[in-house]
Amino acid sequence: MKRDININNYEEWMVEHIEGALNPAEESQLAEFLSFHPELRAELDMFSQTILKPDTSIVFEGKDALLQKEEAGRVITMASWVRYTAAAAAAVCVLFFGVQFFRGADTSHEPLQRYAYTQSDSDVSAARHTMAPVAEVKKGNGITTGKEIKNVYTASNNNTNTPAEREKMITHGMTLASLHSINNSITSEPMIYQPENGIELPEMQFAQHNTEQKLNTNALMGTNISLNDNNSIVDWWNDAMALGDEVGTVINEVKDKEINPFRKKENEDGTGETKVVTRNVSIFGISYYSRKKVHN
Amino acid sequence: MTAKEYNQAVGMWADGVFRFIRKNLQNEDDARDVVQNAFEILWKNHENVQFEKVKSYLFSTAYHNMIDHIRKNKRMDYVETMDESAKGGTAEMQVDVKEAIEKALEKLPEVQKNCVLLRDYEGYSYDEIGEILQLNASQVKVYIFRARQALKEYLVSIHHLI
Repeated sequence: MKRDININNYEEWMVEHIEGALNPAEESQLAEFLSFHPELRAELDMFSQTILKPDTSIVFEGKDALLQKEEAGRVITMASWVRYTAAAAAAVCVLFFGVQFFRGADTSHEPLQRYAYTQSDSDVSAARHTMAPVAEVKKGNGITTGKEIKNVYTASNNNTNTPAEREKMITHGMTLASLHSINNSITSEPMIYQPENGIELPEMQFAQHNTEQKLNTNALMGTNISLNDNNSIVDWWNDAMALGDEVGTVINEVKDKEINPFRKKENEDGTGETKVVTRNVSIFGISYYSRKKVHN
Repeated sequence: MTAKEYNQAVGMWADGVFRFIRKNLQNEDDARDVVQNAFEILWKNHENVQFEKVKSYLFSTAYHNMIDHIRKNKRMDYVETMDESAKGGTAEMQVDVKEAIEKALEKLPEVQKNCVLLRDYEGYSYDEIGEILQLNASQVKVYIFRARQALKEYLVSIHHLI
């Protein structure tokens, strides 16, 4: 709304002028008004002098008394935090497994193994695949063929999991992958995977694959291990096991003992049974497991 | 706000807050107590105060501390006990306009005085002043107008004396 300056309200305009609150048009109005009332210029000057200037000689002496400790140790880098956490986790892990699994020597007892996955699309793929319900694997006796594994694997992967469940698995896989990258910053030593058949593999890295492709588990060694290779089946299963609690849970929930190699299994001659006990623990996304065979 | 930012706030605003309070409380030690208390309150709540808001928080806290302090010590008569020389009775004080305006400031009602102090000393907007003094922006504008009008009248009166 347009305002007009006059002899009754000019003081408001002058105050707004020194406050810098007039727009350009209003400034022009004020100037025009003063041109008609030059005797009021002195009053405008007086208003200008009402603007206070801080006395900078007035200071708060002894500001140091107001300061607080900034706690240098409180601000730590992410890398340090990770190192401390990982070191603590490793210590707990060593103690736990030392007590739980190495108490009493057992030749059938496999050493503690650690698995993790690098963060990449293949990890997501790996998570989706390996966390599918159990596929049919029968160790030993040459029972299982790669084709059989592939068929069962495909069936379980496609039919058992809902899209939501698969999404959850993918998310979990990515979490493991990211935590693994943290883990890699802690140790420069490659993690060694040593399956039963004695083939020593560096850190397991799942190449992007599907069930029709070969599973490239060991790019560093330049060796492709095929799903059709029965010698690799155990390795393949160990990879699945390595994903931790979730996989372990799935395996334990499999009703059909015939297709679960880690459940009770009768010997071929029908006498006695071989029981494989598995234990899975996930610490900071890194899964550890131990297996123990019990022969009756 | 981190401890580091709190310490930055001490360096940036302690003087300004003290100057503002000191203009209201003629006793320097009282002003120091009020400011110190304001920073103590800020430190207790520093994790809940954003660094961008810390200046306003400090002035507001110090202002309310000062009001409490005045009420507690019944020193609200500071306007009335103003130095007689500030009333324009002698010629020598009138020479220094700055000193005169500072003394005239003491004659203003407290709310007008604080509006002008925050406006001129700290450059706060009407909204920000209203936030600190718990007024709305329109009230702040009116108080500032009345304050400047009174100060101008005072300057005109001593100008005539000269």
